[in-house]
Amino acid sequence: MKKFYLLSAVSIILQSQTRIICWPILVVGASARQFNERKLYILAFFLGILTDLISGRMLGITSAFLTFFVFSLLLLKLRFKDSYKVILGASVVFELIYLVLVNSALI
Amino acid sequence: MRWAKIRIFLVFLTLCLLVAFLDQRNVLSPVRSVFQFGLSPIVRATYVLKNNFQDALSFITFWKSGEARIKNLEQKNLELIGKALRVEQLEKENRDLYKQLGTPFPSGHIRLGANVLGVNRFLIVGRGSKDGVRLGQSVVYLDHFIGKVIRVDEGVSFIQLPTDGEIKIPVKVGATGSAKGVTVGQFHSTIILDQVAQNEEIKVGDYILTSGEDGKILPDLILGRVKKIVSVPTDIFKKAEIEPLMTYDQLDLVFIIIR
Repeated sequence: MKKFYLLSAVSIILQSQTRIICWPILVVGASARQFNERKLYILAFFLGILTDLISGRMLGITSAFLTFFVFSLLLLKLRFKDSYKVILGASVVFELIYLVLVNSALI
Repeated sequence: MRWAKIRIFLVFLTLCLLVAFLDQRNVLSPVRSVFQFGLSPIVRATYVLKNNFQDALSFITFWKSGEARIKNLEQKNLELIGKALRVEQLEKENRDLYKQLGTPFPSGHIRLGANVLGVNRFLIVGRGSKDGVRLGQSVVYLDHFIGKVIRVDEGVSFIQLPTDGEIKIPVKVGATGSAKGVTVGQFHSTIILDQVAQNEEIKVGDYILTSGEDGKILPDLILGRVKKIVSVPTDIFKKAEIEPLMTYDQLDLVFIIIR
């Protein structure tokens, strides 16, 4: 549990200095195999709120984005169990979606 | 089972939308201020650490081309000294003319220094509404345009950079401003000059300055230099790629023009 707190803190600090990578996606992705769904949603919610606080966005926007990510991860887990390849693939896809949304100034 | 999964998803999504709604109504401003007060020192420390690390890395790449670059800079410095003297002379003449006409010389703007805390989509600076920062104010470094204030919290402000995809800045080409256009950001790295009439002349190396035509951004601030003309003669407007003269990621201190 401690390592996820540490990872979360590091991801938020990195988020304050990076434009195009959504670090919380990687943390949520890394937690997907060990956390149950409720914990994953809570983690996504709080990391999203902290990301918005740091990047000056409306609070809740990144949380909503991460909530969709967790939902997709859980659906994939139903189909593919805990395949790390699938989790990694989903994380990459959501990173790309985030990149497009940020570049088109939608979030 | 599936319905339970959808239900928990909907609960959290509703929670996110509720937070967004409350934030839009400024209900969460005190929460925002408390968190930013706690996070600002850590974010600033990371920013300084990142820049120091980049400086150390640039030293490694610098040693090869260093000598040639220093010679080039010395040459440019000599040119600038000559130009600075000429500007000083012109300023004196200008003051004398104002005196003769009996009109007061226009006073400068009030600049508020602000430490840069970090940069993601926006540049984050450690000054906020309690220091007199307001939405839309211009942010500069020397005579260079850095951006405009897009969000103000109590102790922190967010600056929209010229490379942002959502910003549109009315500009002119060169100090005389014969050609006028609008710049838009692209991919957080480049600036595109657009809407320049085809009969206007722009060439590589021309300086781009803010025109202040929108009444919000101050005029005559340097934005960048024309790097490449990207339009063809058959286009309705001329288009060019602008190279910013500032590295926005490495700024340590900027100035917000508060009046």
